[in-house]
Amino acid sequence: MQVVSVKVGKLYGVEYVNQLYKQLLTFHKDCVYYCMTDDPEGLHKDIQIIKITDSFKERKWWNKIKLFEPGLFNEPTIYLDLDCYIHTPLDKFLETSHPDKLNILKTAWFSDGIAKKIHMCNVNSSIMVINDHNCEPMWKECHDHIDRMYKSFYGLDPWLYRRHMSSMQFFQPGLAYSFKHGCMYPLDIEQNKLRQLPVCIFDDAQNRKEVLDGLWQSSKVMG
Amino acid sequence: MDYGKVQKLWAKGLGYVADNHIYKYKDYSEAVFDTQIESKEWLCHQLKKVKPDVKHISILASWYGLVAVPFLYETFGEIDIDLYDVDEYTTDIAKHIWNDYPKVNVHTKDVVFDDIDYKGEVIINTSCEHMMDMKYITKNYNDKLFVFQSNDNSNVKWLHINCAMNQGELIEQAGLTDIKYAGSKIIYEHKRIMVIGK
Repeated sequence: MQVVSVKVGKLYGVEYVNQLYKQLLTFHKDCVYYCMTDDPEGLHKDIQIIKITDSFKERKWWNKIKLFEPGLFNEPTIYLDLDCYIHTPLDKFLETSHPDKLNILKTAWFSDGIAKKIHMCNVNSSIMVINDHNCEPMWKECHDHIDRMYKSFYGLDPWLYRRHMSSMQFFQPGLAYSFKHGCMYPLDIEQNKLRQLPVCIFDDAQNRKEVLDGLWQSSKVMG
Repeated sequence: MDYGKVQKLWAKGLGYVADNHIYKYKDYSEAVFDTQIESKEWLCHQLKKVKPDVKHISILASWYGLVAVPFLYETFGEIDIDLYDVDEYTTDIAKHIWNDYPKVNVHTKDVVFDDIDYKGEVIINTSCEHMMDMKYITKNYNDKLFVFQSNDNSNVKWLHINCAMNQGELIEQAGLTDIKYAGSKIIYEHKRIMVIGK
């Protein structure tokens, strides 16, 4: 299994990367973990470094578009935001992924109407499956129009939603959830709760670091 | 200005929003805020001074056109007005509001990425803070008059992405070289900026 994360700037320290790697090894001992970063200092020696530069000083999350470069990965590769937490194995993400589309998370914890109201979209790029060619339309648009994109969208998610819905497939429900908002609207939307599902994301969570610290220290694995 | 006209149009759309687009309710209610009224009143006043006779206007990121269209009609008469917005729910509501105004045409178009042939002799965008620099559009139209508004309120996360702090910054973003008007005023605690030019 191949997994990748992106770390640019100082917002997330190396501990986020190293902890994620530790969680991965718990379930996938032969996992190859890549980190695309402008500063590899302090990263675990077995993490594969892909050196990048910070091209987006004000909104660094836009550096994630570098994942879309065709040919960067030679097999389907799971992308995880650094503030994700892995509870259980990740195989289902790959088993259910579409080979020719960008596989991405839907904000299923909101109704589509509310998602659009709050975040301008129902797409969440905290988790994706990328392969060697499934992001070509996105990469081409980045190449041709990055200035327009960066000045028209706060982040990647509303851009992907507005421009590339036909090139994406959502992961099946229940593979990931939001600590802050829940898992599935309207049946499972209890807030600020951990669940027995593969991955937890921490978007919008005020106490993200505190919860993650607790999980890291206890090395508690649910399920 | 006959504010009753805005009110009637707003009421006309309100039932449609309730029946078909309930999640747009808050957005729809904000379309007639005082800030909208004041900024469109200012726009029409200054545009009339620069160009007293206008026949056809294109409005980018037009939202519902609830305030802009009545004010432009009051200023220039019942001229052709093309409204462009990327959000299909917004344009669906707008089409309902303007369904008995044959000279108002509503288009679901992405002004950032779509190739659009703007027919208006005047092109207006009062939401420049929401999107790319307008130079990408002005460079294609040497003969048209542009009216742009932006603001310095960068605290609106997700939406106010490309603010301008002053007239000079908006002029630079827009790539305008022949400036007919440039000004700013404080509207609801924030500086609103307007430039008119080619």
